[in-house]
This record gives sequence, structure tokens and C-alpha cells, in this order.
Amino acid sequence: MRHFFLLVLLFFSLSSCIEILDDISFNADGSGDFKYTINLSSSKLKINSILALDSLDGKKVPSISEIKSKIGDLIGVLNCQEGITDVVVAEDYDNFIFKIALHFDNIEFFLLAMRATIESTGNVGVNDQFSYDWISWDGEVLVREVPDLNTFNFRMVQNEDQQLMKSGVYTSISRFNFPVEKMSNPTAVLSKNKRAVMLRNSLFDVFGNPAIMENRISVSPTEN
Amino acid sequence: MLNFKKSILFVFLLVGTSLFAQKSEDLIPTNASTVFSINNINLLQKISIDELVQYDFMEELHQELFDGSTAGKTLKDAGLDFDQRLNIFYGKDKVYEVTGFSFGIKNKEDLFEVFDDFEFVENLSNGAERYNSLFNSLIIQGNSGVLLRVQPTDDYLIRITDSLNYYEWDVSADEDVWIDDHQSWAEEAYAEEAVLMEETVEEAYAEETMGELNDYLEHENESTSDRKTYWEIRDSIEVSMQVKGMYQIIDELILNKIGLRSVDQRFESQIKKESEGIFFIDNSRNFSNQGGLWYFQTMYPIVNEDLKDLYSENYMTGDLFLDSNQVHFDVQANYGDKLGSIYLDMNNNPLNKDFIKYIPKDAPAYFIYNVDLRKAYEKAYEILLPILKDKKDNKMVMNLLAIQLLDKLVDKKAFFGAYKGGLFATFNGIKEITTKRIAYEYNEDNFEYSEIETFAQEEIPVFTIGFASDRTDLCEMVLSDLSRLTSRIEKKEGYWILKDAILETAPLYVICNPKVLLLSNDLSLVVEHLDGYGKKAISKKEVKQIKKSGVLYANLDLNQSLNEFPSAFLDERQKNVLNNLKKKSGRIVLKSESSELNKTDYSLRYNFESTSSKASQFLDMINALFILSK
Repeated sequence: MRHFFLLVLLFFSLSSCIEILDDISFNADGSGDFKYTINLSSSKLKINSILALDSLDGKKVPSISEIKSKIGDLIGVLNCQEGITDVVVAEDYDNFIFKIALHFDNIEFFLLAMRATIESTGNVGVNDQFSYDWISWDGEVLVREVPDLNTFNFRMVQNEDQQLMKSGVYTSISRFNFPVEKMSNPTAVLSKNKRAVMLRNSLFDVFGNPAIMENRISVSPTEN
Repeated sequence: MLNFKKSILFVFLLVGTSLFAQKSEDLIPTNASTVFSINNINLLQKISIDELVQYDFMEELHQELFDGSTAGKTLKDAGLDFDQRLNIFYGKDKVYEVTGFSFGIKNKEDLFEVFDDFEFVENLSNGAERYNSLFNSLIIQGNSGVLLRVQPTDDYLIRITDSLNYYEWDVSADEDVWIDDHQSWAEEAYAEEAVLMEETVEEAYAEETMGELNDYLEHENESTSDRKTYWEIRDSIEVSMQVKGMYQIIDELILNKIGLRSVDQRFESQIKKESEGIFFIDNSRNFSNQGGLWYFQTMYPIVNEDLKDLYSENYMTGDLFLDSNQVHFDVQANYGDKLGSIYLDMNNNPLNKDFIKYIPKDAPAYFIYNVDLRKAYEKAYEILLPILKDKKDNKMVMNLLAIQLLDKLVDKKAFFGAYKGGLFATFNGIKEITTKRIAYEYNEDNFEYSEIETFAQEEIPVFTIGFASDRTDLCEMVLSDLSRLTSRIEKKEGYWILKDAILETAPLYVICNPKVLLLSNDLSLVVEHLDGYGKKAISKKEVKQIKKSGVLYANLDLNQSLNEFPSAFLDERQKNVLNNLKKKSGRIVLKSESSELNKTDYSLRYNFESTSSKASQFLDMINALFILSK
């Protein structure tokens, strides 16, 4: 009986969406801050429905304590990485918003730390995606990509899941101490103070073609 | 005179042949515990074979049948005799799973043109012909045939294979010693296995396999360079068991003519019926083979035997009728006196009038389950206690003691007054609710952002569940106390609201009426219909129907309910049933009659409005039943 109503509730909560937000800022010395937010508040009816079940499509559904433990493990790995400090995690299980923020001494340390953290998950496909430099910064030019999210093997294969992604949004923000001179992605938007670039796309499109989030941003240190 | 005698003999032979000729229903093995038999297979003449093999009841057999040879062919093209029944059967014990169907044959050439993967193997001693394909055997006897598939159960196969897996391949240099050591170990393991096995078939098989094992070991000692892997051994055992199982069935069913019909009078009576289809499910055999009872079977084998006895007369029969736009099932659940007396007390209760007034007439689906748990408890206590009291097992004595103490110390009137067992549920359709979500507001100057709370409308299904209770004051008391601890529980005029109780998002309303405890997320119920739906409740005609029925009454509009039901979280079996029903539109009414000492009758009427053929509707319903009974 309990499952019956949960199932029905779940089905009708699919009009909601997922929002992913990444925000990276660079200092003049090459260090920077990275924030990553996954906002599932629009899907909390669905997530609560799923969490209330023992299994989904024949696979075990983790409990909140298991999710917390898994996130704790990942943060533990991240905290041990060289050149990474101030790792802060915020988990809001009422609204299902997960945020991580960290400081990196330089972009190489950041990439290595991300790689090591992902490797600790044991997901081979994801490891491959993170094995190359998907972000580079030489003090003047930032080249960004978004790793292929498909390699995370999200269990979103049904039509309703695709619908969920279509209404979802991926937002990427890059911030600098210097004014932006030019950017390669025509859909990117420059802030009024010219020191931040925002790129937004439907999550569905990002899944389908991660290249749409690629951007090459040049800044002018001399104009500071 | 001689000519007259010849004529008499000829007529006698003719009549005798037609009277005693074996029919398709005689070719159902005794292993079958579930049988669906379609009488009016004329109905199916136009069903394409490709369509037929898509059904789950054909799943075990269809791998080979579903190939190019069946494309565009109908059952009629396959040379089937439409004057005989088509019988689909399934059975499973601890060792084997048997699936198949038997049918009449009009034209053998046509049959093999469609089922062209079968090759002639042998003529059996009684003249029957045996054909084999990769997985199945087809036996033709006279004008009837049976397609059989015999498969060892996974559990049994794994147990047998695991007991042999000392053939693992990383064999050390002193492998001769290793094998000798493990040979004795394997024999011990086998001996242990044999003790656990209750079925003589298992023992026989184990002994035989032991012999094969010894042969294998000898061979291996001669040449150790070419050992089989675990999976190869498993495959070998599987094939060997399939062959043996098939021979056992052929021997019994074909050569000795012992089929389900000849050994089970209940089935014999059922198969004689003239309805479009019948089904027969022997729950007593399903009960003894249920894996979930392994603990009970292991810990209390003797008690389990007694309980088996309780279920020994437990079987279900059903008749299926097809009208122009209605499929009608009459199902009879049969049981023995002991079990029946429990059902009798539990099921035959007057309808709770407070249920009726909370069922809106436009509800897409609702059901009423009208049991009295106290009466069931008293009767079960009366029947089961003497059975269990005969046992002198330590654990059983302690458990019994606990049960008896609880029975004496707990106020049963209060307990079963609070939870009487009867309940109803309604699905009232889809409504919109307001949900909160977090969005981001960006500052255009620097793209800094902050979280803002927004609201959105989401559609959720609206339902009400009601429990029969004489002590809803207890619920009132609990909610009243809890509301002092949290602001999420709030008293309103005539009801309680539990904020965000449903998946942390939607409120749940609790109504503590004197005779029924209602839980609902339907705002209109608490705002407009606290005292019931009045004229908007289900009609008097429907109430009359419900009153006439027994313990169960369910009414379901397929369009508005099942078709929108999500299947993501169901297991494969449930998904199959649901998907079958999802294709339909129409209304299903399921009701039971009053329970009698040895039976309860159920009827299911399905009025369809689908454009698909009657035959498809018929097969879809058979398929749903087949999946449920498997």
C-alpha cells in the first residue's frame, strides 16, 4: 500500500527539473576557488519518493545515511589532496541541494585533486573523462570543457527522465580579477563588470553534446 | 455373416477410436501446478503466431519458435486442430521447472512448416513421435501434441555445481594429491546434500550424478590438462538434468499415460467445463515449493508438515467467459475445513457503512477489504494452537508460551477495536498542489547569485484510505500530544493536518471519525466532505452490489488509473502484469462472494472498449493471470 502511493506520487512529480551550477574564480597568482552546486529542490517530491523505496528498477536505493557516508568519503579524499584547502560541503536534505566549495593553489592541483577523487569512486568511464585537462589557465587564457556527464551512468534512461533533463539547467560561471577580452562561445554572456562569464544550457543538451559548454576566455591583465 | 462381423468390428473401432483417442488435455504432465486451457480456440484462428509468442506464457518456449518461419503465419496456418483445447501449463518443484503447451494437430506438414526447427528424434515404444529443437521437445501422439521444456531450477543447479567446483583451474603442481583430497570432500559434500534433499528425484539424481562425477574424476586423473571451467561444468549438469527430466516426463506422460488429468480429480472436473477457458492452480504444491518458507521448513520441519496439511486442499479453479465486449472470470478459491473456518470467520462481515460515504462516485478506482481480524485471530488461535502444542521442540515451546501469555495479558477487545482489519482506499484522480523550490537570482553586474524561494504547481494523485476502528480517540490522543512537540501537526475544525507529511512536500489530513480513521491528501475531502460525499458518493446500485459481495470489492477504471501508473519500481513480474493491463481501456470489477467452509468465489468482470480483437483481449487477460500465478 505504501509503495502504491509512493509510485503514483513519483510519476506525477516529473515536471520538475535539476539545476547544476559550477562557479570557478581565479586570482592573479593562479590560485582560485571552485564551487559546485546541484540543486534538486524542484525534484524533491520525486527524490523523496525514490528514497522511500527499497529498490528502483531492481537496484537498491541508497538511504540518506548511505548517501551522507558516500559524500563524506569523497570529501575525505578531496581534503587529502595537495594544493586543496578550505573544502566545505553543504548538504540540504530538505530541499536536496548539495554544494561543495574549495580553494586551490593552482589549476594543476585542482585537476589532480578532482582526478584522485573521481578515481576513488572506482567508476572507470568517469576516470577516463577526468584523465585529461578539461580546464586550463595560464593567467591570461582559460580553456574550459565539461566532462561528458553520460559517463556517470546516471539511471535516467526513460522518457520521463529525459523530460526531467530537458527542463534542467547547467550553469557555468568563470570569474577573473581582470576584464575579459574575448570569449569563443557565442552563447556565453559577459557580466556588466566584464569580469565574469556565464554559460547556461539545458541539461539535456549538455548530456547530448558536452561541447556546447566549451569556452575559451581571454583576459587582459594589463587593464586591471 | 463375415462381412457383417467385419462391419461391426469397423464401427466398433471407429467409435472406440473417437471415444478413446487421446486429446490435448491428456498431454499435461503431473508436474504442472498451473494450467490454462483455452477451449474456444476458434477464437484464436486469426491470431498471428508472432503475436502469440510475445505473451509471457510462451516466453519459455518462444526463443526458437519466434524466427523467420513464423513470420506472417497464423495458428490456423500452423496446422492446429481447432476442435481441441490449447493447454498452457507450468510447474515448478525444487529440482525442475516445466513449461509447455499441448494442442490438437490437424495437419502435421503445416505444423512443421511453421515449427521448422524441430527434427525427428525417435519413435517411442507406443508409437508416439518425438521431435527435438535446441531447447524444446515436441511429442506427437495421434492427433495431439505437446511441446515441453524442462529446466533445472537455478537454485538446485547452483547447489549441485557449487558442490563440484573443486575443479577450479589454478591447480597446483601436486594436483594429484589435491584431487584425491577433494574427491573425498566432494563425496562428503554430496552426502550432506543428499540428506537435505527431500525429494526422491533429487536423491536419485544426486546418486547418478555422483557416478558421473567419479567417471569424470577418473578421466581427469588420466588427463588433467583439459579441465572444464565452472561454467562448463554447470552447463554440462544443466544439459544432463534437462535430458533426464525430459525422459522422466516422457516415460510418465507418454508411455505410461499418467497425466495431470488422470491423477487429479479436481483438474479432471475443471477441464470438462465448457467455458471459453479454464484455469487450475494447485496452491498446495506452490505452498510447499515457496522459497520464502525455507526458515520455517528448516527450523520446524514437523510443524511445517502440519501447516502443509492445512494447505493441502488449497487450490484455485477459474472459468473464463468472453462476450462481445466483456471478459468474465469466475474464480473459486478452495481450501480445507481448518483453513476454511478461519476464512469463514475473517471474511463474512457486514459492510462498514462509514466506508461507503467516503467513496466518491467519480473515483477512478477504489477497493474495500472487509475483514474482521479479531475473529480471524480467535479462530486461528483455536486451530493452530493444538497443532503447535503437540511439538516438544525447545524453540517452539518457548514461542508458544510467549503467544499464550500475550493472548492472556493483552486486551484483545481494545487491540482489535483499535485496528479491526477492514479498510478501503480510493484513488480520486490527479490534483495540483503548490510546492516550494529553490531558484537562483543573479546579479547582472558580477553574476553573484543568491537563493530565492519560489513556488510551483505540481500534479499529484489524490487518495483516501480508511481503516475501520472503534477507537479513533487513540489517534486523536496521539496527534494531540505530538502537536505540542511540533508545529507540523495542527488541529483544524474536524480534522488534523500533518504538514509536508507526504514526501516532505504535501500535507496529509487525518480525520478521526467514531467508526473510521481516514487518511487523505484530498483537500476537498476535509473542506467540503468531512461528513461524507452525500449524493456525490457512489450510487445506491453500486452499494447494493458491494453489500452482496463478500470480503473484497474493487472497481477500477483502466483509463484513469492503471494507464497512468508508473512501472519504474515494480519488479519484472509486476511490470508485465501492469503493462498487459495498461494497453486496455474499460472497467474492471472484482468481487468476492461470501466465504464458505471450503471455498470462496470471486468474480472479475472486465468491460473493454479497446479496438483490439476479442482474442487479444482474451489472451491478454490469460497472460496477466499466468504471470500472477507463476
